[in-house]
Amino acid sequence: MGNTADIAETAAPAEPASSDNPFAARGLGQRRRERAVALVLRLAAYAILGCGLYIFVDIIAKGAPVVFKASPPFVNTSFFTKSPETLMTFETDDGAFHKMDFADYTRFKNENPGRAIVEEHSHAYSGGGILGPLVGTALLTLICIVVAFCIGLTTSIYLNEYSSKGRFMDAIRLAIMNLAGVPSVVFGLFGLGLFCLVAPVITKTPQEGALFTLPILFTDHFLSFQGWGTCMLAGGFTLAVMILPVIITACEESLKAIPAGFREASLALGATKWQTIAKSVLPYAFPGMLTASVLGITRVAGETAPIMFTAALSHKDKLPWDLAIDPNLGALEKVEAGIGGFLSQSVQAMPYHIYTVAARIPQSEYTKPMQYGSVLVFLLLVMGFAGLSVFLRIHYRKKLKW
Amino acid sequence: MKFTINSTLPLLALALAATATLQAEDKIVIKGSDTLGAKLVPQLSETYKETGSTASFEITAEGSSSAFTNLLAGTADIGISSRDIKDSEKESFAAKGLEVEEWVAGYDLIVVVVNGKNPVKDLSVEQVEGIFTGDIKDWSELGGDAGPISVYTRNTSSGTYKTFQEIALNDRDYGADTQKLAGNEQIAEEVSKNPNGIGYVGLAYASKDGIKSVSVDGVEPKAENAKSYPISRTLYYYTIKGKAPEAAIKFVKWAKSDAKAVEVVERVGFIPAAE
Amino acid sequence: MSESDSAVNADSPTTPAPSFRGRGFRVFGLGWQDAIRYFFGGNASLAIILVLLICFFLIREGALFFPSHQRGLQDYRHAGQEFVDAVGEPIDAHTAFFSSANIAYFAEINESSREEDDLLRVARAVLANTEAACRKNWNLLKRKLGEVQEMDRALAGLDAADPARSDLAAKRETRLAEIAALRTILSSEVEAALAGPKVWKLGSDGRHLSSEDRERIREAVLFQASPDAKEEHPWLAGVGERSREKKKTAAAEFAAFKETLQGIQTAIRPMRTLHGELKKAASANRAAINRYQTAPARRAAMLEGAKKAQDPAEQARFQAEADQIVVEAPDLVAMNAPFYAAVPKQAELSAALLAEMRELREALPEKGSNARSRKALERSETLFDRFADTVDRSQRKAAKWRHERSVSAISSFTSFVFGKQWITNSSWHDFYGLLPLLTGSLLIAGIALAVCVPFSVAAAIYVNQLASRREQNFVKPAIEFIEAIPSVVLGFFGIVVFGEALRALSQVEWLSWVPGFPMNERLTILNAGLLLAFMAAPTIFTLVEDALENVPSALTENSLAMGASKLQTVFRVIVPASVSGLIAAILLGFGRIVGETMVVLLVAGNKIKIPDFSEGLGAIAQPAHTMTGIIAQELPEVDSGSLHWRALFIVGLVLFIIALAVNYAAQQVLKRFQRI
Repeated sequence: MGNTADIAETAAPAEPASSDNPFAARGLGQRRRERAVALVLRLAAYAILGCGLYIFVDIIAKGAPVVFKASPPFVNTSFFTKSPETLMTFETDDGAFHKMDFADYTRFKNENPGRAIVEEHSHAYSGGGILGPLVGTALLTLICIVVAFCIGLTTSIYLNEYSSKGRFMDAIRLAIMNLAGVPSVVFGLFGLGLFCLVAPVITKTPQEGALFTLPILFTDHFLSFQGWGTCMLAGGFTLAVMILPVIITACEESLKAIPAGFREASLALGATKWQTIAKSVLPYAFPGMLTASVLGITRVAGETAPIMFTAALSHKDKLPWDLAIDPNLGALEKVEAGIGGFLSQSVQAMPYHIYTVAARIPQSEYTKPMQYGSVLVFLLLVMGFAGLSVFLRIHYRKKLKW
Repeated sequence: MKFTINSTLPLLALALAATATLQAEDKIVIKGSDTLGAKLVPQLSETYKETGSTASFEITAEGSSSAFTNLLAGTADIGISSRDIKDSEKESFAAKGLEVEEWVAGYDLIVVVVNGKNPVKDLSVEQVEGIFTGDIKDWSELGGDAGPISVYTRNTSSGTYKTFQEIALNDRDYGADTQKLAGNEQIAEEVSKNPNGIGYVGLAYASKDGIKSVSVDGVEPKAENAKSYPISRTLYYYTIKGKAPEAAIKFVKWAKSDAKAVEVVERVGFIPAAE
Repeated sequence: MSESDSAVNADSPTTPAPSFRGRGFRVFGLGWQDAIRYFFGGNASLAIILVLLICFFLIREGALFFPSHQRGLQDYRHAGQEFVDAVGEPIDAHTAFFSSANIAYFAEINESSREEDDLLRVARAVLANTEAACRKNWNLLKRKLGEVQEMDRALAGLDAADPARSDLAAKRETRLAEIAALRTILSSEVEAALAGPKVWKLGSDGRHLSSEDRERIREAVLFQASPDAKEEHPWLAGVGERSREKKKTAAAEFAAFKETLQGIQTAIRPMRTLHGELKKAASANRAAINRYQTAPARRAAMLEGAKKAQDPAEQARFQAEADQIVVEAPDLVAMNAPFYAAVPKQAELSAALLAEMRELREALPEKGSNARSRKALERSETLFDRFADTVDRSQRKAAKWRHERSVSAISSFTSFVFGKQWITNSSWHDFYGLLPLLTGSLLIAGIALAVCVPFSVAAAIYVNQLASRREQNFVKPAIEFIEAIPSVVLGFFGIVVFGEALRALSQVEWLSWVPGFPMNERLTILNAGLLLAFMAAPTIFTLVEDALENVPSALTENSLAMGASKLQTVFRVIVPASVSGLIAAILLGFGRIVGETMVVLLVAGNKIKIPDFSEGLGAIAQPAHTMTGIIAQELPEVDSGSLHWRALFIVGLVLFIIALAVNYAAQQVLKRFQRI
């Protein structure tokens, strides 16, 4: 681009070359006008960046004091090790002002029974930290990526390696393209309808409302189409469906980038189709696919609407792995109950937590730290993954050249 | 063969996920009203745990209707509601051979609030009806400064929405100009920011700075006026008779009677149910 | 090469290396390679299955929605509610007319005391700001005063001889001393606050404040700024008194106007009474119909419950309750008799009402004396015409109404697609009309596109064509980075920062030409539109940039070789050549904006009403609700399988169709232009 701009400078003569050339330059005034237009275009580009920068600066300025601190370890650890709680503000009769999480507040009251407490205010969701939502988002994202990546990988292999042109292919491509344009809230509806309400469950005691129930041969279990209920598994699968087009497209891109010679050479040596794919194509396409899945994480971690109906919860005081399992069960049953119980929980999630603190609680000096702190961490997280995907892309592009 | 293993993973996950749902025995899932669920119940649960209970809580507050839908679906142990159960809801429970048990959690006044700079101090019930149904459109009609009235109401599943409609609006529908917001705190927030705003909140939310509660028919919305204030209501816990987990019943009983719980109810701004 | 190896050789034409030899494993004639192939193919077809499943779930709910919606409408007619609403229409139109005339009246009255009222308003605002500035000590003093009051009460209840009394009295003394100290602190704080500029931030009100008045208000606020202030500052009290006096004089002057207004209110009363009576009857009818319709289900439910209950007593109770449910069809003819009987009365009342109202309208002042009342009167003119029309129409509707006429499936569909009301959880009848949500969505998307297309297209042209390589390498990733901002974060920003900033901006005087300014609301169409514009900008930018990139370099080179300048090349060669990509980008951007949920849910203001365009583009300052927003707001809280739930799925289906249509259109545009 740089040299074409130079050409433009030199190629625009001050004198009009010929009057019937519509492109003829018209002297100094023209050049000045052109500069002005270019400036306007440039300003538009920087206006977008400016707005983005303003949002970043605002959130960082107000959120950084909550998340970071000046002394080692430079991070406000309690913000990351506690789940959201009620924040209490009050004054003791000596006029001292206190601000503490609810647990500390009750301890304080028990330790100082004589102190009169006045001007007591509670601020819901404003105390504690964001451990619960962070863990929930991590789990949802993990489930989503595992599912989406497995399906996306195989689909892209089929599309790029196996298929020949035809109706089936066109249909798949059309479906992927249309899937990409569907609003996220519609995926939420779909996830609720399919995963929460009709997806199959293996259980000994099928629910009454199930769509239909099949006994599984040789066991006392049933395959009951009763849905998984509102839980992280349903949320993860819903997100996976949503992200599928992105993953498929990205995986396919990286497969396409492998030169045909790799395949031809392998086939020429007598390898079967599958051997060729597994040994000569996938290892080289893998880095690109990794980048794709990181990009996928960026997209799904930020989505609120699909998990609103399928997985998210505004208040949960235990972490997902704090399960109470009946000690009387056998070892195998314990594992079964543990995994089932783990995956069938609702979780808090960062985007839903931010929705809660944005819409459900007022803005005051006591609620702001939680609001801005959560938003900053969330933004850094998502941006971090976005940055990582950019980095990976550049890194592997440099490394793998053929 | 790494990739075939990879692709069987979702199937494996599906099979695992499909195993029976398991309820931790001392987990209490509470769903329903925002009026109760935004402030009171989280604090009650926190206080309850301070008393040495090992129970753990999950609370979602979307509106009173969700209390009954979730109880019915078995996804909640306790339903919290700022209105009493409708006949149609009772019937859907009966259809499953279930019956709900009602516990009075406390009493609440629905307070009409306006912006702190608004000169209007008193409204009649008819005026409130006129404002919220859209018959009265300008503050100058009420003795205030000229300006279009911005009306903030709750979302339609809210018990406050329904109770207010029944008591203050004569069961008429809200005007089309009303804005539907997700919670009491959000209404208070918008009214405090909009000089022409009016809305309604539970008593617990009326003490926010920047808003002013209006007396209705000359009665100030205060706890001591609970009997004479025209727009008051009862708040409930609901459980399923015979099916509710022990821990949930214990919690409800504690929340109704324990001195510490009553203190929380008062501090949050509701009127405790007299035992 | 033996014969047996030739089968393998067919697969791999070159000489096979021993390690790559295929194995002869086959099931049903399928080898490993085929199995792998079909496995991948099966996974790939999952995309198709998913799209079909989405369609299936949305359409299934739709297929169930329209029949039950139709049944609901049928009940609405059978119960006579439709008739009652027809009778009620003129009342609503009358209320609107009256409200407008009433506003005009108060505008006249208030105009007389405008100066005083302005002063009072400013004083009130300054007082409120001062209170906010000294909030902490203010509340502290308030609490201590309350405590003293309580002690006083307690003291009054105690005997003189009670030993607790002296204790309490001493405590009271210390409180009083504290209060006195606090008062001095507070008053100095108030003084400091009044000296600063913050409490004088009054927006448009403070514009014409003279320094003299300012000083007086300062004094008055200083005098009154205490939580227990009972007395008004004499000057302020004087202003208030003057304002009341002037209003009284004005009221005397406009006595005729007031009388007319009262006349207008009385005129509607007979109609209101009739409507009220009919409404009660219709409500009872609807309840009876509902009872009848649900009776079998309820009965079955009770019997089911009886079967399931373990306790015999419980069983008996359920059984008894089941027996109580009688299934008796309501007599529609008898039920609707009062409505047919009311038709002549309604006609009579309508005629009388119209005649009386015409007279009363003549009595209204021709023209207002100030801008506000003039506007209100003008508006009431149009509203009156609408009222007169409505009376006519309602009468015709009522006369033609027949309860037995059946509701067609088509009208079930049209009343959803073209319905102007979305009223749920109503005690009367739930209306599911898409129009308010659709217009809200489209208006927000329109604003977002109008703002973001110029910016992002210009930015794309600049970055792709004019920027240096280094600038490109910086700007492009930076804009793509913006795309990664989650929408819920933008919504949060809109609530916490942008809404307030936008409203403050709208109060600025020299911006008052912008339609809709000054705004009262924080959460508006404009706010949501601007945030969505920012959100969609990177999407459109990237797509347009790609389109520009794809223009063959031969075109550029030829143009430059012809002696065209860089910009001429850009605007006359490159942009026209990439116009298909540009249009496709805008379409896809539109799809993204319409489908966005969190920003509109948090920021659009959730008012379910078709935006009022009576003030032209000023509608953008109003709040609105959207299709995505209503799903997110209402779905978590409705019964699964209920009519309301299905209505939300149908809204989802509409969104899905819009998304598909936009996608399709974008593809078509790309195809068509590429061919040329």
